[in-house]
Amino acid sequence: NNMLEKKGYIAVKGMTCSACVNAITQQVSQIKGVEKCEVSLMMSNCEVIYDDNKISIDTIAETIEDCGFDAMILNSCDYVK
Amino acid sequence: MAENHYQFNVVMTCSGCSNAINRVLTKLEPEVSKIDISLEDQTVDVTTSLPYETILEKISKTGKEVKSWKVL
Repeated sequence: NNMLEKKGYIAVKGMTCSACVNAITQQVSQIKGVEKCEVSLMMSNCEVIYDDNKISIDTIAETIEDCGFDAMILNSCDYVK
Repeated sequence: MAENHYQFNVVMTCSGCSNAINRVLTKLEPEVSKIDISLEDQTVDVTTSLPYETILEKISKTGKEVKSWKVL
């Protein structure tokens, strides 16, 4: 198993309601290589678990930008289940 | 270059949604010369030299549902 799972945090600015949260969750979850995506309205961030071989966190941040929100990568580290 | 005025019917629930659309469309300036979004009417009015497909794709990428569109 050469899957390299990582957990990353991206700060998201501009979300005001659950529809904003859903829009981001939906778009990010569709990306190949994204295992799990959790968006928090209260924390203004997005927690993603992704396969580093298939997708980079920059691409995930770009997808959030395309959703119309300001995205800033906070950190990313190896994810151990 | 010739400009067209398109009107998109988009499902938006709050000002965060309309701001989001405004943001992605603003990035297309100067090809997009005018953006007018009405949360009440659920409409996005765009004056642009770009083909409607480009605008439609940009709006779709925000994760919002585009119900219909027309040329004005």
